[in-house]
Amino acid sequence: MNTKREKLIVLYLLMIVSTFILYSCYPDYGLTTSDYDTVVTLYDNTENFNKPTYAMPDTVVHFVNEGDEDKIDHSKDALILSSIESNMTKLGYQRVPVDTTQNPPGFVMLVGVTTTDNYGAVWWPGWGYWPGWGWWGGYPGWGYPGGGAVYNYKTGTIFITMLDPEKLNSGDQTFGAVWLARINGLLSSSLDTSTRIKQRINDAFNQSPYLGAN
Amino acid sequence: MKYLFSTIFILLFTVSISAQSLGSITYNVSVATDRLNNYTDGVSWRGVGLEGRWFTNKNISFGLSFGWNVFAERTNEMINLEQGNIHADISGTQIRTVNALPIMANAHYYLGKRRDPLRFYVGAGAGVYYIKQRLEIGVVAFESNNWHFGLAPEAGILIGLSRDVTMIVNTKYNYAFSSGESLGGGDDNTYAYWGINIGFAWQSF
Repeated sequence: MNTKREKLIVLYLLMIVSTFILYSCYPDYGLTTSDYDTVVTLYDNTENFNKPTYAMPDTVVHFVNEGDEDKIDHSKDALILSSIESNMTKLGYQRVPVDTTQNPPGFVMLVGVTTTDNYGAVWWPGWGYWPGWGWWGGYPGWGYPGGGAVYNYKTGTIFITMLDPEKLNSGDQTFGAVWLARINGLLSSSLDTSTRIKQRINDAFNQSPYLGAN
Repeated sequence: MKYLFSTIFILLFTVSISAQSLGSITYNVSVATDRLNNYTDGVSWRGVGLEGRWFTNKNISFGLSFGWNVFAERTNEMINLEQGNIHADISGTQIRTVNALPIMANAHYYLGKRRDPLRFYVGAGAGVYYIKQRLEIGVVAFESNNWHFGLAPEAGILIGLSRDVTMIVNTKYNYAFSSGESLGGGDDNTYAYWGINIGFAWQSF
């Protein structure tokens, strides 16, 4: 095997290996916005969820830092509440008014949302230091500018909390949470946001088969 | 890691042109077993191996090898957790990956003569595995990076294609012993997989 051919073989192998190094560490699955949605549900496994009624205020609480202006979009609040009500009805629960003068309902549902800005930066080096391919008689070296970019993304989270009025904490007079859903996803301006919200709320109830009035 | 890879490659290339030696590069397909099989897709189609061997006589060689296998899976499998009275279920698209990089010292025993067109061999490697396990779900990622002591018994065949080039086919059982906590917090982080490796070797006599 002559020397030039050997060098070419080595070069090709190095190119294959380099490609492997650059692209194989974490395969790209072509994720879309909805693939970043997550639904977490927690429940107290000592709780009896077989109770007929629940109450839910007509308000979605917007969690913002103390002193900050509430800039969270209110346009999805009604959709969030109606999706929860729809799921609770399917499970056989009857919604009753929030009326503290009456007997307490089986459960109280509280709903809150918050948003978070996430910032990050990427940087890629220039190839100015690269000695080039001169060792095998090829190109003298490439000039490839370095650079960087700052990116940001906004996530939104919906919290649905189910409280049991019978589980009163006598110390601080709070009710114990017996079920919690935390729905998190990327916020986008696309039209499918409403669909995603509805679907993920459905997912939260679907992955909680222990819920149900009957 | 890139520098390590380059250094090993240059070393192995040097081996391939020195006396009574063999250098090889292989495409590695791996089949996960046990815990690794539960975590990711069973088969890894992304893998590469580099190896250099020095012969002490016609039947025995000692050498060094380096490999890289990427196990990956996209899944929507529910994650279930339990702590005391609280039970949690987590759903969402997950990307699960394990990068396994074995660095081994090897010994091999060969049947037949050096220039035989077919030479079977058996061997074993001992060394370390650098294993990077990662779970991405939603916009968060969890990662654990560990060095493991490991063993890799092997059987293979050398197929002479010409005076200079030989095809190498082998199978290797890679076993990385537990070295600490798993990504999920368990005590056992053992990894094991079968490798089916095919490639080319350059021998000098």
